[in-house]
Amino acid sequence: MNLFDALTALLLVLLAWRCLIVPDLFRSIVLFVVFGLLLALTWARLDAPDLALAEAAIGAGVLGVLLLGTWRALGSPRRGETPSSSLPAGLRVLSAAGSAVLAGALAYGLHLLPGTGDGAGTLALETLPLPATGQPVTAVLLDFRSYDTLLETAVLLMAVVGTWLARSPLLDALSSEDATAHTPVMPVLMRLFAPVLLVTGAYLVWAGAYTPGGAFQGGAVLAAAGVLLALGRRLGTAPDAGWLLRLLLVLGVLVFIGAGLLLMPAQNAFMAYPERWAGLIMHLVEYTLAVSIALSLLLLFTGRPGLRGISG
Amino acid sequence: MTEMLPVLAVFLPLLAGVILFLSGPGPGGLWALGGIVLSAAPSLLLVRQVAVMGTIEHLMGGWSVPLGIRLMADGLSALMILLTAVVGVLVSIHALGLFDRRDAASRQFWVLWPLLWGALNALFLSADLFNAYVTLELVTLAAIPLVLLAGSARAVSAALRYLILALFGSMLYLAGVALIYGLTGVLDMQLAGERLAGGGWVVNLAAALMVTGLLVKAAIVPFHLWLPDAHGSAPAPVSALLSALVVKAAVYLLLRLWSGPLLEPLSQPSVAWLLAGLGVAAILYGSVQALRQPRLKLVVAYSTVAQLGYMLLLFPMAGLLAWQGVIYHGVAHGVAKAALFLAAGNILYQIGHDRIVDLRGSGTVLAVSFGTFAIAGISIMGLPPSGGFLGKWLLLQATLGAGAWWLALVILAGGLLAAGYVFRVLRAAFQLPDSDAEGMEPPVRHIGPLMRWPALVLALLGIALGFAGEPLLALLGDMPGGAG
Repeated sequence: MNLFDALTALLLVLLAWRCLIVPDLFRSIVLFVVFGLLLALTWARLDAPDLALAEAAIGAGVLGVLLLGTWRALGSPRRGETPSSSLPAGLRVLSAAGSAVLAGALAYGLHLLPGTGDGAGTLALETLPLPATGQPVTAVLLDFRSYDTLLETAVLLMAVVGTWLARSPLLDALSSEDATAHTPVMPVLMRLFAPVLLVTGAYLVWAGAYTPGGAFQGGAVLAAAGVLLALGRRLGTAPDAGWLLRLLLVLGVLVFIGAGLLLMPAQNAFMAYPERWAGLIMHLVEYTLAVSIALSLLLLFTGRPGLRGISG
Repeated sequence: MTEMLPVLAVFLPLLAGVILFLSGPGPGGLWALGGIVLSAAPSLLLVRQVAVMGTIEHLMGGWSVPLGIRLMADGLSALMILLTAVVGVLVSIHALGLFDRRDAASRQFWVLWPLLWGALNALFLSADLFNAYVTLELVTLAAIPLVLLAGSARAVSAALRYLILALFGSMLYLAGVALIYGLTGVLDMQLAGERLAGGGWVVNLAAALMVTGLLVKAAIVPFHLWLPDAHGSAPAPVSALLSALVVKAAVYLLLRLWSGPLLEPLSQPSVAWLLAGLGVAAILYGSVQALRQPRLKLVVAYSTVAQLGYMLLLFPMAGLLAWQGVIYHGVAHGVAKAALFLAAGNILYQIGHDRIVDLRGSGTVLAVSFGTFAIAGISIMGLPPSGGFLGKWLLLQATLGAGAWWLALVILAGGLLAAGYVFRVLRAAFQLPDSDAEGMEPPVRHIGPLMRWPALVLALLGIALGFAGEPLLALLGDMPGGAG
């Protein structure tokens, strides 16, 4: 551990602390985004580039956008206002003490852990030439433990439907009158960055088979392009999702389940693909998943079922 | 074909949810009905095969453990899947009557509920610690939007509270799984259990984290804070599904861990008695709260808090009788509680409110609904003949066998308190009005047969479970892993 790592660790704790205690909601969100970026850097330092990408794209990027969108939706009267904590001081001290004990116990427990040599991870690396993709993380996500990945993609569908349901009783204000859209910077930013984001996202998905990256990271970046278009008022919302949008939202899950179920009688196991086709199927799954993930994340941001293009 | 059934039991419901999402504002209830059939059929086939052939396993992707994920359908899984299918079908029929598919929000029920069904089956079939986490998340994240279907601001705040506490529980569980993976290098429950033998400080920590996380999700006192609001403000079919199945999924996982990888840390007497103590607290606190609630649905919700407590009494007794008793109690409660919530929902729907003091005299007008409530109440109280009686009877024998007579007293007290809150409602409903002027108000809305009969069938099933002990306990079989 060198000075840089020590400094990063210290900064992480400091940022988390500030993020929790800062009275202004907006600053708290900004601190959270910075925290996410620093965390991504930490993952990179720990030789986990996949996690670093995911953390940067989803943890800092998408989550930051969602938080800022929510903050904006809270309306101007609340801005800058101290979020009133309903917890009495005693309970706050108690929860702080509880967190400290938990953190201490976890740190001590992690310290006691042996380095295991014969676990599933080692076995996965040894088996690596076998699966259709040589990239270890992708092999785990789309082959060894593809079942987990498939179930997780269903979470996105639930989240999107949940957002629609949660939103309607709460507010229906956030749409057209949007300050950011009128700034002169926005069109320039959009023209500059939207194509870059699209290409970067597509690259991340494609690269997932060989190097760090994949459907989740790539999808998040693609979603960012969509968010930019929505902010620049090239993408508007609609009260209902058309059939094409609905299809694209579930395309990844459909292809994933379909490939697994259709090949099951021949392979005698769910999601076991014949060797010749395995690579092709996994790519297909990865690309369609990326599209579905990108759209789901974008819809989480816009908060309404439908999307429509705005020419201009 | 047989080894495909576990996969189909997970993915046909998920597929049904996706298809119903795609179909959009489609042609009414037929699509939904198709979804129900598609979801229920593989479950029932799987249960039959397990009953005939015993445990069925499936290696996902053809990868053997510890590399891949194992699905396992043993007696306990099969029983839970059967409970889900039976309650699921009947609640679905009720929902067909209640939710108009032309209404945008109601339509989402038919997306979320099949997804929840698939997620529940996935959880009951999981034999992998991390996969169990994923499925538990899936169950929670399908359940929370369902609460939102009520559409009120109150439901939104209840759902958000549920979300925050559930995420806290998930985080604790996941931290425990991470520690176990760090210790053993495997996630398969059986392999991890073998490698964890001998215990140690880290194993205890991991067990504490995982169990606490599950207790939060199962709404065991003192982590019950989210349940009454969420279950009380959701639409009736959703409340029924949440109380009968969703909280039980967390308890199921607790039992699964106890009978498998975490047997050693959870069998230490101090831990076992601590858990049983929480169970006792849940039984007494939940029942007393149920007695004091002003609204019918909240009575039923607090009753769930109380009834879940019985399932924790297993730990210090740890014999076959207690195992059978606890699980039978869980199944019987699932059926009876679904009936109670549907009946309460029907009452609320018909008279426009569920304030108990204002129920006076409505019993004669809403005879079927209150009759259903009363019949389901028999099983909740644990009176013979009913499933609730059988579960509690087995549990009582186990406590007396273990010499824990005061636990037997708690079980009896819980039954008495349950009688108190059930009869409080019935007394209000069947009390004659003071004067003719108040009169018996006619219902504001009428319910159709689709909403009326499923509740009654569930209530009668709760009674029938009192006679079905033998085949169901045979299906359950011995304790897995030779625990205890």
